[in-house]
Amino acid sequence: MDDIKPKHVLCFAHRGEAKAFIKRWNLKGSGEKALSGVWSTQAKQLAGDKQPPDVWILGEGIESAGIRLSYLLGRFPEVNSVINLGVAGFVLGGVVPKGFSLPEIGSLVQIRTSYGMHYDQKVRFKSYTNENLLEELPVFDCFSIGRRLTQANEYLYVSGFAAIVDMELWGLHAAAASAGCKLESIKVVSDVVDPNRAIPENLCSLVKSKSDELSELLWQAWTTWEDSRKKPTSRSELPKDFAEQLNSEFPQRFWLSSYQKNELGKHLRALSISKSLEPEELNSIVLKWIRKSQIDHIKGPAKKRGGVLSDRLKEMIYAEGAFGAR
Amino acid sequence: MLDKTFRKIMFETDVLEYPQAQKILEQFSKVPQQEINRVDDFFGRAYKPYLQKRDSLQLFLGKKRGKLLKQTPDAYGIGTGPHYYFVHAYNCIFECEYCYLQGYFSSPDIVLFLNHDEICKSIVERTKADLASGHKQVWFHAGEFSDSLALASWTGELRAYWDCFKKLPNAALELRSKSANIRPVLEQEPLENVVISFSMSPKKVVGEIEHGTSPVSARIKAAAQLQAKGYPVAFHFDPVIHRPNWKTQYQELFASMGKFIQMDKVRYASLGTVRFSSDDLRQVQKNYPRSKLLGAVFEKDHEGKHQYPVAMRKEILSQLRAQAERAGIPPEVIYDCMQGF
Repeated sequence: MDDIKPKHVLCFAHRGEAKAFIKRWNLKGSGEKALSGVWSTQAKQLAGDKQPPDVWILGEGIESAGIRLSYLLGRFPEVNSVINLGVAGFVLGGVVPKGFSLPEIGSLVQIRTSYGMHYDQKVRFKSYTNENLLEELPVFDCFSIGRRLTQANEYLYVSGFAAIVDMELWGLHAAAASAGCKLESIKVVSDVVDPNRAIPENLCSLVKSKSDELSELLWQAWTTWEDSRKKPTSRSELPKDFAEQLNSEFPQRFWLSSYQKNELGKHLRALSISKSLEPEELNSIVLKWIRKSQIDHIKGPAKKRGGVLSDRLKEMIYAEGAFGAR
Repeated sequence: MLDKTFRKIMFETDVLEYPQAQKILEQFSKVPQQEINRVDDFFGRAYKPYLQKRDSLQLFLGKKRGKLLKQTPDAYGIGTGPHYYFVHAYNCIFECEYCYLQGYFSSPDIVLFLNHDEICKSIVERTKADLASGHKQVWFHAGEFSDSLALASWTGELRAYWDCFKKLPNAALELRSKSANIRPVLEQEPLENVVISFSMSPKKVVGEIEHGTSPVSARIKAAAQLQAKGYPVAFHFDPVIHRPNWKTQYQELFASMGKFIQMDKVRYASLGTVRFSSDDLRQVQKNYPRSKLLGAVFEKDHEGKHQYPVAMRKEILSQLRAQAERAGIPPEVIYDCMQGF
């Protein structure tokens, strides 16, 4: 099966956050009312990977942003990767992962685990974790609050789970997960909350007044993300399905039921670990071993040879020495 | 090292009455601290991935509420008397790839319960009740959800349990550990009914799978030191993980033990092969996809546990028993732990 190329979109809560992207890419807003907040390139003649991704402005709030993202992912099923860029607060006293220093205003942080607030102002059990993290940015967990907290000590509760706070990420994760989409998030710290002090009354307008600057920082976040994703990964690609390779090398010599294919997969995974072989390497060794041991020549129906193959591989798992030594 | 381990400490107001709470908070004064109403308001309320214990571990200090003692599963310990475990902590500072704690709690954060006085009171009441109903001995085990000794130097609860069991000659306490931290034990006098037991695996297994635990050589020396000073010592060869050359590895382990430990004086030794519930196995596969543990095909037994095939398990246990007996451990104190045959 061919790898599915990622089709990214960038999503933001506010247009101010996306300003730098709209300007640089010369994006135009959709004229359709239902697609309000969707900004696309006009340069459709560019090849797919040269086209800048669409920008979606989703609004703020766990439910509102989540609902909006759900709708758009339904309208654009080809999208399989969402990158959320936005501003967030840092809560003093929150859980700061080992190895990272306290972020300052203007710091970029990538979000690992996203927690969300329930209607009862308590944390929801379900959390979402992005395991595909960039090396270039510090990693924090984020708590999405349902409403703007007005009392500083309300942040004390949040700080028991995470050090970064925003207003929608958990909702976006819920929407993306429901659509089978990947979601990653990078935030720029726009303010620092001290749960032991009063929150400045004009906090929101302070953040708004710096929107150009914050948007430029989010542009930096995007370029960091892009550069990082272009690097070749050290992991080898997953090997082709072994059953397909088996059929290709020994046409019609082996027949495996769905159960047997599943069992064969388990045996191969166990063998790969037991014999310290990479899966790709193991597949190739197993195919050579089949040829050498002539299991494909065993008389009888293909189903019988399939069963023998599975049993013999299972025996190999616990056998001493290198694969096929016995 | 521990003040770099914990990223935040959250403590119940109710535990401030315990001197140990003050001691811990002073010792970790550089770690952000927050007073809370209940541990339950935070711990386990949201799913926190297990491996975040490596960089985002929090410590909670609280009181254990509800049931303080629970009956152990069948075939848990030696002897015919009832066996209970008490919970003095949730979660462990170590990271063993086979550990069922991966799937047990929804957070890897460590919770320390400080109301040992109440736990001891439960132990006394339970012992009296069981003895009154005809049992000759009652066992209590620590270390079900945490290591019994790893943090004992600063949690400081051993004195309370020693005082408790000193007055209960028909009750026995087991402190089970993968740590060589025996200093808090050596501060107490040896008691016949307080057994320190060490989980033992070959050196290669400890290195590959039991992350952060004391090297097996250190456990051997710790056990030997305790034994020499008159503390009863026991061992758990559990879980046994089938690896290439496992027989030779265990022979080497017994040989090392034999150099320092009076094997004929070992109080008991349990044997068991690795086993998982379906949830635990899923967690292991998720957290450690290339773990050496997974170089095997497990079968589901009649209790729903994923284990090595029956014949293989019997073979392993039989070989291991023979090795243990050859090393000098008396056969009558060797037992299979929770194998379900």
